[in-house]
Amino acid sequence: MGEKQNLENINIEKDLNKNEKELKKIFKDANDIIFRKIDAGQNKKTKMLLVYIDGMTTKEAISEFAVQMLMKDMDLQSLEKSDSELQNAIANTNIAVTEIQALQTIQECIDKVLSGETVLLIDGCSKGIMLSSRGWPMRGVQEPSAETLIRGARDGFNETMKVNITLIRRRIRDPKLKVKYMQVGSRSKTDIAIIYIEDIVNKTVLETVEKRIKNIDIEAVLESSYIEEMIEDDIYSPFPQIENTERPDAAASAILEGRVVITVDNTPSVLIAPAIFVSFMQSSEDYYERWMPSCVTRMIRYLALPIVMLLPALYVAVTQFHPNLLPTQLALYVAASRANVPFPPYFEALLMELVMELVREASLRITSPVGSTIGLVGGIVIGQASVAAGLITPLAVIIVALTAISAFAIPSYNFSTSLRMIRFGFIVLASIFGLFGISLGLCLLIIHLCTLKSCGVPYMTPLASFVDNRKDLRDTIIRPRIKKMVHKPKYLQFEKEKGK
Amino acid sequence: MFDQDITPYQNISILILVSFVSQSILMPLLLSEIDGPVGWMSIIAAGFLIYITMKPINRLMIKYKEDTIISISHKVFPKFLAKLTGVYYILMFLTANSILLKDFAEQIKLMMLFNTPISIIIISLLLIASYATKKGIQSIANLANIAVLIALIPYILIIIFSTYYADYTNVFPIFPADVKGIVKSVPAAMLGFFGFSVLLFSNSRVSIKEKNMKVNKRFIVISAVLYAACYLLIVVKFGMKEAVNMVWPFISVMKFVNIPGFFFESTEIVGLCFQIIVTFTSICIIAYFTNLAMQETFKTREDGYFIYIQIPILYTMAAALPGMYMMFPYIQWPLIVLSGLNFFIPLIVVWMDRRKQKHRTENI
Repeated sequence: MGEKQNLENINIEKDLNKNEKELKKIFKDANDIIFRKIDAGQNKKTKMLLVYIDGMTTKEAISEFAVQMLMKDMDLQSLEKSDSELQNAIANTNIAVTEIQALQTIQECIDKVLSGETVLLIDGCSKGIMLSSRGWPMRGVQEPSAETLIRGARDGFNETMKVNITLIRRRIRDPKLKVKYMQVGSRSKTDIAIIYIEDIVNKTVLETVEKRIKNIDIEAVLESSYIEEMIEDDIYSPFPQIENTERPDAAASAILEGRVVITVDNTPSVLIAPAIFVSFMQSSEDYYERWMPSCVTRMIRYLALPIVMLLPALYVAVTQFHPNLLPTQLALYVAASRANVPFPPYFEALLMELVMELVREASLRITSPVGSTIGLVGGIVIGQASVAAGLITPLAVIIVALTAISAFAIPSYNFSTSLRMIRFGFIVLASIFGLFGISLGLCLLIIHLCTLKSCGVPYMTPLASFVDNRKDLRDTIIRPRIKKMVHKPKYLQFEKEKGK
Repeated sequence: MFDQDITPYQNISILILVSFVSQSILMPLLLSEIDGPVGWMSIIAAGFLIYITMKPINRLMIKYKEDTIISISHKVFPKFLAKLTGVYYILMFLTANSILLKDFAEQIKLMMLFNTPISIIIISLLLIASYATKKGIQSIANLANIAVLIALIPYILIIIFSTYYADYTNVFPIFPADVKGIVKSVPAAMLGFFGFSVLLFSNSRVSIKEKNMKVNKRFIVISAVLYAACYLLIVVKFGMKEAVNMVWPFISVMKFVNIPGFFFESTEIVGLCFQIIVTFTSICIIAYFTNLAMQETFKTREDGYFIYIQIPILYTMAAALPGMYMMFPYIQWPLIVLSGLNFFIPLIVVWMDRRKQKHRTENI
């Protein structure tokens, strides 16, 4: 930090050699940093130095267009006056670079070079010029593999932030769509953009997000999950409080609702804040399919929610504590099938769930075509073999398989991961207290969810204030017709409410 | 909006839930006190009595905005009386909560956990309730709203479905009614509106206080309808002779649920799961307002840690008290006194405030 402050205090000198020496000292042993000296101007008397990183710049733009044009009619006298004069002087040349900026300190030069820009230093001029020249190999715009849809746009975010911003801008052609740049990471200096619509966004939420990002003190940000963890309200909660997506349409929809989107350079996943419980149960496709099928699909998804969390626990509770709850025939079948099983129901459930998690984890680590096959076959084979060996009951296999399938019905991967994790807690509670334990666990879970906030917005909105936010309820368990859709949820209008 | 305030409709949920649970406990008392199926008349009478007090009480609370009944009494009563008011509410809430804990834990032991000691059930309920209480009123209000959605509504629907094959002649004869019994059971019916005592505290936490009057009136109407309807449902299902011998009639009535295609054998256990969520939420609500009463009485800062003082007290009281049904023969007079105090203390505070106001204007 001390070194950084020193560099910030070092201004660019008039003597080009001194500047070059300083920069070479800083970039010592970095062989991909190119220092290119040029004698330019009318009589080749003007010495210039171009500094850029090999591989991060479009060299053609710099060497063939910018430098030559720049030096044709440059008046060095005017460069000494002020930033605006320098920029005007450059602007008056027929430079073929879209973005230029005057630089005052060595630190600014370093930051720009490391960002993929080219820095131009001129002998006799105490200011540097940044020439926009970013260009590096990048992945094209492809369909996000984790969020595939039957109907809907096929484009997805990639690792280049500017491309991601463009994809959002293509969907919202509104001058009030604002993009604020920030940098996070003392070493990585990762670019971050906060995107929102000025007249829709909730100011409190926006300020909270900005403040939290500014307060991040970290060396490097390699993925947007770093930011997510640093800005969420409760890090110890099993539930995600910031949404993430690779779909531009989902991000655009969130912005139109008045939420804030955070894009992070080098990450295809953008973050959406605030995130509430019901938003994790929504999929982009809900709004692209016809109204009635979408409603049914979403209801089925909500049905999957208790299955993912509670079904194995209910199996344990019913078989171990409350067999009288079952219809007589089923109770007899369960008793008969359990007769030769050596383990108690809770152990059986925990064991099978653990195996299922192992299979799932293993299939993720293997290349995708083989991985999915291994997951499917592994589950069936292990289940069948366990039943044949008399280690578990066929009912337990059905329960675990149904739970695993239901987990895939939850659109948000990280949300379904949280639910899968909670499931183990419910199994333990059911093994101690039966249905009473499950009810207590549910109470505990609801309290936790009711306490949770995302950037100041209660997580259980609108369910936890269903009368006050009854309009928002339209888009929870079912989706409203497009005509009746509330684009700006009431839960994000709380400042305006206060002012009323 | 998102600080420690609750919305007017969250307040309704809180009041209805607390009242519903107290009605569940007091229902057998109401059934046994009147000779004939006319307890619903006592409920309507009790509801009406509370309804007419809403206007003066709400005016007072709007005037003092952020104050609860205890902090208002500190302003209008002499110091000793104000402290006594605070102590009364603390004891009343503690007693109500401990009775609720004890009765409910017994029900759970009886129907779900035959081999588990009752103390374990009470402690587990208390520990989780303490977590909720410490989180503050907003979390509890959110919990109450969700409990209404996922537990109270299905629970009431189950009760309604249980009246299949009911004998509707059980509600007759309405006249000649046991008028003496109706009058005698009004105090017990009034205690069924336990939300009336809670709103003296919860109203101070509502974000839009101007809506309190409307909300409180709605609560009384909804609660009275619910109370009377549940009473009638139990009467038509069992008849008076059988109904008076039931400990938790709401749970007993669930044994007779007849929903087409419903395949569970013991529906009362399913119903009890819903009842657990509803009762647990009520325990949290009462515990929170006990905390509030404590900090206002002893003039400490807002502190959730009072719940840790409550836990041993509630546990001891719940362990020491016999079940509610065992106390019925001995609590007739205490009930009348308790009901009277609950009803008159806020009215006395209103009267004292008006007297003080009058005195001030005369001096000017």
